[in-house]
Amino acid sequence: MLTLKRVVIFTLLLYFCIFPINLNAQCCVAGNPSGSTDGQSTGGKNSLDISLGDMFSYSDTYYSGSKVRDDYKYIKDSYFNFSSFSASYGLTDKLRISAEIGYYTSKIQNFDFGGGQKFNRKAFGLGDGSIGFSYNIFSNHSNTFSITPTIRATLPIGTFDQMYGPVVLPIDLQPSSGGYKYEGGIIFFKHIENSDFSLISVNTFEYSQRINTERTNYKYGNLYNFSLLGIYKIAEPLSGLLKIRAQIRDKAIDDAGKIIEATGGFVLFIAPQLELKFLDSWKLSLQYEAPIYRDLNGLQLSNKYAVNARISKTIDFNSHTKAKTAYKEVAEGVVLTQSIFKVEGSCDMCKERIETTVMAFENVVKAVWDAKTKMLEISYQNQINLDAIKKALADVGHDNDSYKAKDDVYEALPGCCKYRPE
Amino acid sequence: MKYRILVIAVLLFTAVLWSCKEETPVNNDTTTVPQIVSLTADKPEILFGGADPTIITCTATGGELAYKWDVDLGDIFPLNAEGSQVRFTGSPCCLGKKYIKCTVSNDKGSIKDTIIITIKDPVF
Repeated sequence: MLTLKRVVIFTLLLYFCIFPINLNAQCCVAGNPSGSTDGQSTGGKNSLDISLGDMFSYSDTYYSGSKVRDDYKYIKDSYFNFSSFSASYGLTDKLRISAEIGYYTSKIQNFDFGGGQKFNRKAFGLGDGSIGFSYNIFSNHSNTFSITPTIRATLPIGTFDQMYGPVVLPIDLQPSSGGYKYEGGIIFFKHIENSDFSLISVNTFEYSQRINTERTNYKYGNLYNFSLLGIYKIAEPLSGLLKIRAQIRDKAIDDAGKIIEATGGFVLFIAPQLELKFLDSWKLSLQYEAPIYRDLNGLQLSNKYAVNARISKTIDFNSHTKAKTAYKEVAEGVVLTQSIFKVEGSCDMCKERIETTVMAFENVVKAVWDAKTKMLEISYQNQINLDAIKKALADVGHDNDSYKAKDDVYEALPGCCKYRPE
Repeated sequence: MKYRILVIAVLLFTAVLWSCKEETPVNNDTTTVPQIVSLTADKPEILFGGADPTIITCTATGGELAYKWDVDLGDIFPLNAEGSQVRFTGSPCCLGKKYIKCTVSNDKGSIKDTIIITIKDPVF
């Protein structure tokens, strides 16, 4: 627990010492909203993560610096509904390619200037697309710590210069950002040993290219995002997550090259999240994100809250292929399915322990562990709870791709069974 | 009798020819290439916020006109159904000179004019 405290305090100090708080969220930002990804795509080679998400965001308060400006009202309220589809695929165990595409089902601003002068305007349509790569440059032996740099390009493939009635909508309502954006980042992952707690830190810098269309000549301020995500396994299929995200945006620049003063600033968000795993490879997550501190340049409308729901699935083409070829028709017509995954161990005693543990599960027909390749093959009929099997293996001292054995359990193993480096 | 039949045949033939005669098209197309007569605002300078708008009116000729308004930064709201009159305001992120473009078009062509409105900070 002391280690955890140290990691949290050190990371926060690092952020706020290196990056002075004079920067933000800005009023005029089109394109896909930031903060929808959290760097959790960590599958290996030939694994595909696909996810479908929906985000609702609401804003109705103006801020000047960190102060609420109730005396000023221009946009009465503003909200959007944004759906996105993303996919990431492991080209190798270390290199992943990812892509995202988004669609605004609605993007609305309401105005009330008093005296019955009420106006509104709406937009909808395809947002931006993005493509990126991540490369795991470091993982320790037990996979409890890793460093992964990322790069990403955002492409303005969607709707820009959209009209509402006879008026071309302003830049902040356009579904697409109208210009290219390039992002570089680094993700740190740390699993706190002998606990159900993990930390992910996602840090990105986004450079916005100047938009130069027939109508618009504008450069968004560059964007810096620093997020720290804590994941705690509450009960077997359910995890609780807490994200703290610092968003910093530089001031924008207009067509004359002049800095627009009432843009950019700093916003600190907090985002609790619940994540439910089901049917082995599916995941459902619900996130609420709200700013807890702002320091905006000039006078700006700021986000009040956002709600994000996402459903995702991981498809492991390695095990899928192998399982397919391992289907066996037995005499009674029962179909056997085979799953293969890596389990740490070293000797024949380990083999006996691993196979006995697995055979104790209902529906398991056969379990074979290879001490040389460390691969465990399980043949079963109907369905099994693979996650429960992996946890049981960790409980008897054998690390695997989902669970790590507790240190005291590992230490209690006979000397010949020790597999972790000294 | 022969004479009577001949007269009837000539009359019938004439009637058929008359009915087959191509109708002369009536020119109902009254539209012409649009021309902007004036593009005016009730004031050239406004303060940021919603309380101090300027009303911009475009007067144009040409018939069956469609109006399109745009500006880099600032907020335009149409005040009539055809879109020839709009209300313009700006938030604090839109200070300075704003070039409001009005494009008027119909099936004969289009024309564009620009009016400059300055959005000021009430403090200065």
